[in-house]
Amino acid sequence: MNYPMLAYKLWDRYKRQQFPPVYTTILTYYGAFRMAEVMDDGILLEEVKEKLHPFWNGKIAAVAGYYGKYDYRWGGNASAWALLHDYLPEEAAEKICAACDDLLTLQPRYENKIFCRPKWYDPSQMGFRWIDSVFGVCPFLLWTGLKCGKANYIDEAAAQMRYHHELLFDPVRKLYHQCIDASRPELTPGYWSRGVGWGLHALADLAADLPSGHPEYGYIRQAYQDTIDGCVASQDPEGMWHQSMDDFGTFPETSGTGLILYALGKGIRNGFFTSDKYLETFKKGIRGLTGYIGLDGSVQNCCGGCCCPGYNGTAADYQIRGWILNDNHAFGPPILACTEAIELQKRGILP
Amino acid sequence: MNSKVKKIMKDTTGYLDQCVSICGKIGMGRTNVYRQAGPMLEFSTVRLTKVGMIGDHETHWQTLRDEQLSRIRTVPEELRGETTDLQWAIHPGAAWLAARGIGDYSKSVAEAAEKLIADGHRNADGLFDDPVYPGHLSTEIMAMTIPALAFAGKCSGNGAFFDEAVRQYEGYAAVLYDPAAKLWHPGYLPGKATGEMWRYWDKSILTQGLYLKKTGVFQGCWSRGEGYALFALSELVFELPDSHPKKAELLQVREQMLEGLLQYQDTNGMWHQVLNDWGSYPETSGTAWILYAMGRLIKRGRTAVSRFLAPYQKGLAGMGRYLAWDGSLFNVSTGCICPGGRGTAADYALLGWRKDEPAGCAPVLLALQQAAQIEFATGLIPSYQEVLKQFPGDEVL
Repeated sequence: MNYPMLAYKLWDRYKRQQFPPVYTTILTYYGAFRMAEVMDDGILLEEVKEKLHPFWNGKIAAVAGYYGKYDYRWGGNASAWALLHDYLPEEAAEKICAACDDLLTLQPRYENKIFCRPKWYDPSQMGFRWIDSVFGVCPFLLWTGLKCGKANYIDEAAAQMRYHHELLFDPVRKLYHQCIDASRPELTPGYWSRGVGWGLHALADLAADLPSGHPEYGYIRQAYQDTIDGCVASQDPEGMWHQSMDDFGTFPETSGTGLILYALGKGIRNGFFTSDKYLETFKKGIRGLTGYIGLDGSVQNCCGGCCCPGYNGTAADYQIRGWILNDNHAFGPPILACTEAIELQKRGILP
Repeated sequence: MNSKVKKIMKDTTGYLDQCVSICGKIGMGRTNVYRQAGPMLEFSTVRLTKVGMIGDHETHWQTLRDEQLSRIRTVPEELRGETTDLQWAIHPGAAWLAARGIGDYSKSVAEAAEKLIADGHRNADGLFDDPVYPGHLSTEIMAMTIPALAFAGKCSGNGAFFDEAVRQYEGYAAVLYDPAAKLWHPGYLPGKATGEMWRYWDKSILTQGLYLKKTGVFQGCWSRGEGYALFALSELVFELPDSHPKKAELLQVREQMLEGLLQYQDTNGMWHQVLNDWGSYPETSGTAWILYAMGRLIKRGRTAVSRFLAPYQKGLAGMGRYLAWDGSLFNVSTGCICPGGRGTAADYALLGWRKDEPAGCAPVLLALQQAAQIEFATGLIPSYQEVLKQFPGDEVL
């Protein structure tokens, strides 16, 4: 499979969609940066840098997403990654650090720890917590902290990951529930694949870049290992992960599958998952994912925006939420999966 | 785009590459797609091998042909039924092979054609109909009889086969073609069902309860139904000898039909489940049938084809959105006869699609192999990747 070609097709289709700025913009720009890096494509790198410029430069007034104000509107993970790799000018560091400071001090927290938002069933109370947050904040804080020498950002990134993992990870299924205290004062019962993917995105990046001497490093590595093991166990025979990962009656879902493959591929590349079963899972998964990507780069079977749908985020609720052709969540995950496939091909691990 | 990336993008997925992916996907399937899709898939695949062998000399084409020849030889008897019965009176793959002088099918094909003409179930006007529900006409029956008769005429030189094929086409057109809309209706029912005519694929509660509520022509213009009629006509005009008195007229009819369809093509190049209602979903099998027929016209180049070239390429590009890299197919309507018991536009719109619906394989393979032929033989269109680039489509209709 020509993964570079697939990735470029996805990127091209994404651009044609002309989505307004939203957190998935950040996800996709990060994917495009990774593409530029693995393909050594200076032209693409410049293109993404140009697209990101108004974000870190404060020219984007608002970006849709709960962490829009202190994170996404500054370019979030994409800006932080570019900063870490010296693709942004010095002045960007100041602005991104200021955003991180605001995030740490102003973002609402539950019991002064985990980031949260008002409970849906009682908006007067803070306490709705959800796994999507770790995608939003952890890599952003980690990479900025590494570049700017801010240990408090790095500590916060690891701490937020631990808080969410302790709260939302099911140690039996080894998968994440999406939320707690959303529609009801309990966990959402389903195991939404993109939610698991958000968790894994953060875990993969933390495991790769958190200094090994950091006190939370061991915890992060174990959480990463456990979640990947849960995914290996819940992959369908065609290589896909489903909308609610415990229920193959729900549809095969591409954004969750893409994010899981990104995390799995990155872990294989970094030497964390050495057993053959992980590589086989990756191979089967990337093959399955290509079955949902059109020749023009369109992406099928991507769940639309989704947070505790329906009654309380049950498997049925997630199924009924449905999928959308070329949804704005659809492009970043398979681009990232392709970048890891290319990395593995370069190393001769993947044919 | 740097030079390295340009090189990667030149390593293209072409029309035939995608056909190979689709065949690979069919072969990997846990269900017997050939059995579900019927002889039309075998026809499209065996025809593909001929096109493939022109394009390159890779051994996989011969392997695929051997596999198909073996399959066609052992096709179950029930697929060569004595009447139409919505089963195949003549295997189109065998008939096509006979017409092209491949294999040894000419004698049996001519015999089967004679038997169809003598014993095939017909309505009062002499049109082949549905023996299970006499009087039921369907463009699918056209696709199952007319091309095979034309192939039989070609391989045997028996003009009676051509004449019967033309008679069937004209008779069907008189009932099902709407000259004002320039569209085909997919079927006709002469009266309410007695309750004994449902088939294995009609056993849903919805269909059993409502089947055949209406007498007359189904009002919805189903894209795959249109495709069946176009397929019948395309093969007929291709095989008819130039000396046949109807040849020139039918060529003109085909051109007018295809021209009439241009107004129903959406901005992304697709035709929809209900051709004249874009509220219904873009449908891949109907689009592919239309593109195949359009491609046949373009390749022969008998008339000025320039007005079809842009819509044709736009259609190929639009269809690419629903063809996945591993050969999976999206947006192919599930099979039906008169959905909802009335076959209105809304009934067809409600009839959903499913991934890898077997009925989509044959038309997509035919459309893509035809495009490959045009690329090789005429140079009128570029590679599939180039077509996709030139016609990227809009995002929202």
